[in-house]
Amino acid sequence: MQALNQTSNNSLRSPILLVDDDPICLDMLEGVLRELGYDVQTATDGKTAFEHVRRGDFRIVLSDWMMPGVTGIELCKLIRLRQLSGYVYFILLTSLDRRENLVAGLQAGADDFIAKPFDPDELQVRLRVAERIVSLESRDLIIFSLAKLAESRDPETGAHLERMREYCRVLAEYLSQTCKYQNIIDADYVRTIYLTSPLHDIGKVGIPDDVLLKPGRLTPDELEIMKQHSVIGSETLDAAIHAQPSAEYLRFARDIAWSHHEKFNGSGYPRGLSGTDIPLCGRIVAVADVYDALTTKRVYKEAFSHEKARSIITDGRGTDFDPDIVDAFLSCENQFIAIKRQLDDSAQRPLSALLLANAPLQSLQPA
Amino acid sequence: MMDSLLTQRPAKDSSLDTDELLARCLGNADLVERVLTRFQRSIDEELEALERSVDAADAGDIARRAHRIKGTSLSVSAHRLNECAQRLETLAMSDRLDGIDSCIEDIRQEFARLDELIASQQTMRG
Repeated sequence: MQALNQTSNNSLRSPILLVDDDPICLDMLEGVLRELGYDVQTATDGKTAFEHVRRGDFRIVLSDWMMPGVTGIELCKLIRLRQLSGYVYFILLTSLDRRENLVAGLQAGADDFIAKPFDPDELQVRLRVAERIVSLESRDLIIFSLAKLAESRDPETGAHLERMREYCRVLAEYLSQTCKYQNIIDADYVRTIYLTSPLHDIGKVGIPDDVLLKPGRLTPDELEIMKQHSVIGSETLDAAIHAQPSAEYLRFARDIAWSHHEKFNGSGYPRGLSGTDIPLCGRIVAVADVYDALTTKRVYKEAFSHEKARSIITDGRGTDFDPDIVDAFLSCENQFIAIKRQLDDSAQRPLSALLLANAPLQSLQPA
Repeated sequence: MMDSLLTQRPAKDSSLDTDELLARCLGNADLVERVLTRFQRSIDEELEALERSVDAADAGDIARRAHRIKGTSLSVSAHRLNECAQRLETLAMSDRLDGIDSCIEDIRQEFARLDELIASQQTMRG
């Protein structure tokens, strides 16, 4: 039998790689998946399947466990060992139901199991979960791509978004370990602020070039136009929320967009809110955003040293910034320095590289 | 073939549960027919391979082949064959080859029954 066959029904769903050495089981499952509207490719051995995954064609693999040569569990291990550009959701098909086998599958990196003989309803539900997981990664990449696109009009901001989200992550992680915030900031909050903080200035797409790119000081009228970016960003994201009300991360992004220029003493914009009336995510982003603006070169200023930025932020404690966030910044300043060093504009990675590594920095070494 | 197969409504413990198979194939009768035809064509090859393993007294190979028959029979809802293959796999995995003759004979008879059943339905369909 041919090792690999392709069928397609022009579906927009993620293509599925189906691997089974039993041609009858393979034929039946392929037929059912096609009936469910999936694009399917089949492979009759693990080695061929791995070659196809390695070429990046698939995000979902449905593989038999016991196969001659490379078994399903070995195929899973091979995929997990390889640094692939996108996450591959791996489902093992098995008639083995002993606990130790399931543990072995999980240890190999399998995401889910489907027992033979498969139940078509269960199969469909589990594949929907797989698609949702895969689409979450796609969502993260799309959000960051949009933010980069919006930022691309301003060539001097460099790797601002990359640093910003790292600063936000560091602050949120620190706060999550304090008594005051441990019940407010959890791991999901940290993930969400990392995901959505790059959208804070997305409203700048609506600011004219002569204001956005003006090298000198803005006139009062121009400043008012510039301030509109927080409202434009908020309204843009509101429209997205209207289209997808269940997407909580969009509400989070909207709150950041409108509130990151509010000041703790009420002198900020657009609403002039003060204290804890300003969303916490906006108060965190405000410190991260200002620190990066201060420590990098802009059209209107040279880059300040960390010490000068630290002094300015400390001076703004309780006036411009939430004292708790400033204290968190001071506790994490070595991490800020390390992030700045690792994501320096001169070493800015191209967008394609960022999309392939859209994950938090690891093992930051303080300066 | 499917019309006549479906009207028989075989019991759960029968050789072939076509209700269950049809449900698994999302009601696609053409897919059921294609799968059963493919299964029927594989019978001789599977049986010969199994008998070669038995002749060689290779317990590991017998267990692997029994496992494969078990998987296929589960998929096509051939319940009796599945039970026979399960028994054979258990025996082979525990290296009890002296007791497998009756098991092999059961599998041979069940394969023959399934071959006959599928062939008769194909004949009825014409």
